[in-house]
This record gives sequence, structure tokens and C-alpha cells, in this order.
Amino acid sequence: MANVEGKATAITVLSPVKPGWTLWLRALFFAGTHLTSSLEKLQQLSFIHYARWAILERRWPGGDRRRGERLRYRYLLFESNFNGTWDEYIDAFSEVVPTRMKLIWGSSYGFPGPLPVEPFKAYIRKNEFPIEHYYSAYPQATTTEVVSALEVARAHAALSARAEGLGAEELKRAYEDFLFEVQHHL
Amino acid sequence: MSDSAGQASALTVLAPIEPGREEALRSHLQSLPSGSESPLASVPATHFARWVIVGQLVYQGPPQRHDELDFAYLLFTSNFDGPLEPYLEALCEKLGETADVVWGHCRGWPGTGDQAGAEEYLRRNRIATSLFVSGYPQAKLGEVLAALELRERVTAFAIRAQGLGSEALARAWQREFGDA
Amino acid sequence: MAATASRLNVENIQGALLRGYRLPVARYLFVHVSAPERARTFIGQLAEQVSSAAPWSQKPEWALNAYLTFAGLSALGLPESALESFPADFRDGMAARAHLLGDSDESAPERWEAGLGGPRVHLMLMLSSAGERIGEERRRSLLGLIERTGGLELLSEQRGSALAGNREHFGYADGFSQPPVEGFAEDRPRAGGGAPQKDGGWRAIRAGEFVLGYPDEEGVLPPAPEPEALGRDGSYLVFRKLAQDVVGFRAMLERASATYPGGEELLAAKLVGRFRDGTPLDRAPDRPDPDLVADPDRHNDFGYDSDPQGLRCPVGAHVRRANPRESMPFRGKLVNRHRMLRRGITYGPPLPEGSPEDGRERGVLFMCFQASIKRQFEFVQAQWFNDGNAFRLGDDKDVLLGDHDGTGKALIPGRPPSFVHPLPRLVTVRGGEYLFCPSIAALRYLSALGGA
Repeated sequence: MANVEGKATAITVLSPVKPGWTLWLRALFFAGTHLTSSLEKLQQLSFIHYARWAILERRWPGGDRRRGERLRYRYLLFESNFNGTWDEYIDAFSEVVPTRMKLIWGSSYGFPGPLPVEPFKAYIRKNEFPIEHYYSAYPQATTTEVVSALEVARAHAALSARAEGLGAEELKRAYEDFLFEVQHHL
Repeated sequence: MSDSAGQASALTVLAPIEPGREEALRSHLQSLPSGSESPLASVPATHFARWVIVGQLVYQGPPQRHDELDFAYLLFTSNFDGPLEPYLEALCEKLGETADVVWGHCRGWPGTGDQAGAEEYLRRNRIATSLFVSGYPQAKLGEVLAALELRERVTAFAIRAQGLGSEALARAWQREFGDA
Repeated sequence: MAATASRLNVENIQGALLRGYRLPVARYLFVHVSAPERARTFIGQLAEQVSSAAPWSQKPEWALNAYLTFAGLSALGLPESALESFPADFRDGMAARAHLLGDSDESAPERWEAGLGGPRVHLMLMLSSAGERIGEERRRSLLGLIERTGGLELLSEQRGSALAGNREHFGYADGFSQPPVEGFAEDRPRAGGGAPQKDGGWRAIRAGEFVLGYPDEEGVLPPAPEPEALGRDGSYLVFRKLAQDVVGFRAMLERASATYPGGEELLAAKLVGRFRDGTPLDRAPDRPDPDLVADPDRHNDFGYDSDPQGLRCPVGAHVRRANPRESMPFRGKLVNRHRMLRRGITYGPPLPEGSPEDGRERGVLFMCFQASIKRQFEFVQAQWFNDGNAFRLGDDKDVLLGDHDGTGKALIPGRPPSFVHPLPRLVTVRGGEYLFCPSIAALRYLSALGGA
């Protein structure tokens, strides 16, 4: 499947934004960018490597220097790289941050609401585009594995720096402290 | 507008495909090798990237009115480290032939022979990101890869060092993690 | 549209779905339909004999239940439009979804027992009985009926028998945690059973998670096959024969105990989440507690919420993977949609402690009911047993059920932590089926098909 690379899954969704809602969307995204607390729940859904939302203006790029074509609506682009099955991903969004989903996609035509989940899934599936080529630099690592690995690296560097000057007994103690600290990251 | 989170950045490029060349482009993209053999692997600082073809818009039903594309579009997204300009440069330089074959199906692609022109093309057809989130926004690609490898080594070490006395442990640590 | 809790139509729902019979002997007959008309007559007679979930005045000595594969529904002559209304997971069948379940190498469908998982399996008849004698009597009676009806072929049989003390073959007491079903009068939500509530209590799980035609945890009716007469009060059943390597398990435990300071019994508890007598680690982390186990209001009363690190019950322990309770982020919200009703039974003779490999097959005939095979059974199998990422355990698999290839590890959190490595394959899939559990009325509906 072209939208899967190892443990990473790609999703790309385009949806038409209802006229008059763009300002609201921009405000929402501005808040999301600058108020990290509003992203907390989203980040707790710890299976997202990277995700983005973008608003496509009514005039699309022209390629060369000519003006591009003008569409009737603006479009909301959602692009994400995550772990787990597609179903699980949408289930989680729908169950855990339904308000956020409503705020973001409520401004798109046809959005049935985040709950119940089946119509929401059907909506996403309908507006999803297949990936023709997907690349991941670390396909076998999930988001939590990356975060864990970075933690291990940090703690290991600290231990290594100390290890030089430690006798065997002290090293054992320091090592055990280190292991206790990172055990959930191994 | 927010094209970055921490030191991670998002690039989105949307370029119209030359009429009649959509299928050829699709076929070509699907034939590209995946994994570490992917042409995108040669572009430094790239965590995740994709090419998608937007062939037509999806109608949602009334009250929306029909909205149609005159062209099919090639969408390119990348999640990478650091500022945009060096990345655009690296993209055009390192992708080289692939960039020409892929974006060569699009209107107005000048070819990587004109490095500046190619970068300008991508810049001009860029879409601004409104919200960008990452699970690990501060980590550069090199750090991620090194950390993943280290984690494996630490796990293997933890398993085999179980039950070792302090002298044996110190020796084992030195052997595994001491300076070469 | 949200619907309120409704009373369950227990006279129409097959008994095994809502009730764990706790009858110690089970026979499973796998039947092929060669003459649809005869088979439909047979189904009609089954409808009269099949046990429903209606209240028992007295526990019967035996119970009969009947289930069908997708191939079986087709063989009976169910029209195309109805067949198409069944979900893809059920239509595909378990063998075709091996890649999702981690059924590879020794567990791969190519190596399954003949008569299990193949396209010829149409019906599964389950005879539960209080003893061998009554079980054999009923079996002969059923076989006689099959013979007299004609047009049916017995493909294979499986036999299950409960072990003493409700144990399974690795020595663990089983069956503590069954989600109570909302609307089923016999289910009394006890502490720890069902879904955790904000006030610290527990409530039954919405019936629609297990029975079609009732609102589920989302408040809507789960997708069900059509027509309504066929789907309503029905469910999906997963049947899976799991062979257990008891000698291998004991050897692994012994080997790993050498470097585990807590000793073998504690290590055995850490792998599963309960001591072998059933004492839950979350409540009693140091030693078994027989009083706790004997008290049904206490032996399931835990949620892991005060132990996110898994220092009492490891995060990767078997029962914690099967039901993370409150330890999933968002207070169990994500867990309520992944519960199952388990109804299996052990098979094969027990292997006495210290005995060498005797070459006899033993294990569990695993069974579970749910409204969606994909969202419930397959999800738990793939995401919670055969992977660890949901628990931030990377790709660590469940020690007991994981599709191990010898490279995996299990983490036992502590100061210092312990690692069990390597992990051998302890459970092998011998075969399995995805089945539809029709209501009694649906069985009658099926028997009346093909009038034209």
C-alpha cells in the first residue's frame, strides 16, 4: 500500500471550506500555533510524527509565471504521518478530541460531525487522496520510539560523561539509576 | 502562517500537471523505489515526504456548488529540519534527475540545469502552512537516527548485563560504550 | 441518533453469547453443507434445540449453540444482497487475515489442522455439557440428526474440557474479568468490571458492543447485516484453537528466574498481571492473597490508574494488555470500544509440574463474541498483543500470545528493571474461524430461505 512505509502511515485530505469561514479557521490555527495548551490533547495522542493543516487559496499556483486557475472555494489541506491503523487513528481523533475536529472540519462542506465515528470515517475516506510515493527516513520507528530514543540518548550522554571518573561501585549505582530512569524507553 | 514547530519545518508545493501527462506521472511515481532507495532519501534533513496527485476535487453535495479543476496537480509535502532556503537548494541539487522527471510533468518546470530557476519554481508554487505539529519538534534527523541506534545498543546491553557484579559491569560498560 | 439502554431480547439471543456456561465439557462439530435444502431443514430443527439467554430456573446439564461461517451462509442460499451486507472481516474469514493477526510461521494458516479454517467449514455446532457421559449422549444424538437429515458432512471435531480450579495450562486461574453487558439482568456490574466512571465507580458496557441491534458505546446501533430478521440479536464469534507449549513456558520461567530477584512465582505474576491463583498485582504486588481472590467484589477491583509506570503490574503484562482499564490516556475512553466476551475452554490433559514433553496437544479453544471482529478482536490482537507501541513499549509483544521469533524482550519495571529475553513462541494457532452467531429467529429465517 503506497500510503504505508514500515510503521508509518500517510494521510492526505482536501475539503472545501464554506465561504465566510476562512477567518475563523485562520484564527483557530493561530491559536493552535501560539497556545501550546490547546495542542496538549492532540500531542498526547502520541502517534503523530508530523501533521499539518494548510488553507489553499481560491487561486491555485500556476506553475510557470502565468496566473493559476481560480476555484469557487478555498480548500483545507490536512496532511499527517502517524502510526497505527487508519481506523485507529480516526477513532482516536473522533473519541478523544471531537471538539477540535468539529472546530477544524466544521467549516468544511459535508462534514457529518466527529461522532459517531462511522460517518466521520466515511467523510475522511471520501476526501482522502492516495499517495503516489511515500518516504520515511526511519520507517521502523514509531513516534513513541523516536521520543523514547531521544530520552535514552540524553540520559546516556549524561551517564557517559560521568562514567569516566567513577569507580566500579559508583558506576553500578549510577547505571542502575540510569536504567530506572529510562526503563520505559527501552 | 506557521511553517515550523521547534526546528522542524513543513514544505507544501502544489504544481499543475501538463494536460495529458497525469497518468504518465502517476505511473512514474509509483515505480520509484521505496525505503532507503527512494530518491527522497538523498535529500538531507528529510524526515517524511510524499508526492500525491490531486486529479479532481470531490463534490460534497448541496448546498456546495460544483467546483472543478482545469488541471490535475502534483502535491509535494516534506517534513524536514531547519530553514527553507537551504532545503530548497538541497532538494533541487540532490534530487537532480528525479526532480526533472517528476516536476518535468508539470507546467513551467525549468529543469534543474537552472538551479536558481528550479528553486524559484518550488518557492513560487508553495502553499503556506497554517498549523504544524510534531511529536518531537526539536530533534534533527541525525539526532533521531543516532538515538534510535543507541537505544537498541542500550537495550541489548541492559539485557546481557543483568546480574553482573560491579567489576564485570564496569568492564562491560567500558567495552560497549567506552571511547574507542 | 442516540438510543437509550434497552432490555435485551434474551429469548432470542443465543445463550453462549451472554452467558459463560461454566459447563466443564465441550464438543465442537464442524459441518459442511452439501445439500442446501436439507441443511435448511436441519437449521430449522436446531432453532428448536439451541439454548437461548432466557433465564434458567435451574442450570441445565447441557446446551447447544450453532454458528455459521460466511461460506456457510452462502451455502444455505442466503441471497447476494444479504451476503453483501456482512462486513469484510467476517467475509474474509480468519485464515485470509493471518497477516493482521500475526499468524505466521508455525501459526500460519497453511499449517492449520485440516478441517479448521478452510472454505468447506460452514457450520460450527457447540455442545456444552456438565460431564463426559451427558456430553457423549448429546453428541451422538446430534450426529444422528445430522445423519438422518442428509446433505451434511461432518468435517472435524474439537473437544474441550475444563481443568481443575478453572486454571489454564500454564497454571493461571482464568475468567476473572468479563465485561458485564448492559441490560442483561444476570450481569451485576462489580468493581472493576465494565467501564470506569468519573466518580470512581464502574458501569456495564453498552450491549451494542456485543449484540447487534442495540446501542453501542457511541450511542448508535452497530452496523448489522440485513435484513433485520437476520441481523438483530446476533453477534460475531471468533473461534481459535491455541496450542500451548507448557514445557517451553516452564523452561523460560525457570531460566528467567535466575536473574530475577523476586523469584519464579512473582516473575510468573509479572508476565501476566495476576499471580497464578488470580490475585491481581495492581492490588497485591508482593504475594498471592487468597481472600482477595475469593471475593468477587474485590478480585477485579483495580484500574492501574495509580501505577502508570507499571511498578506493580507491568505495562506489558498479559491482562493489562488485554484490558488497559484506566491506564490508557483519556480515562479508558479508548478502551470501551475494544472489549470482548470470552467464552473459551481448555483442551488436552494437564501436564504435571516437572514432567518432560509428552507429545500431547494441549491449550485453549479460545472463543470471543463482539459486534465488530475488526474493531474488537483483531484490534486487540494486532495492536495490544502483537505490538507494544500503544503502551510505549515499541514492538514488545505479549509474552504468552505474541508471535515470537526469538528476538523479543519483555520489560519488568522495577529498581532495577528486569528483562526477559529471548522470548520463545509459547502459543501456536492450530486453526480458527470467524462465525456469525444468529439469533433464534434468524436461524428460523435461514431455515425458511429458498422458497422459490
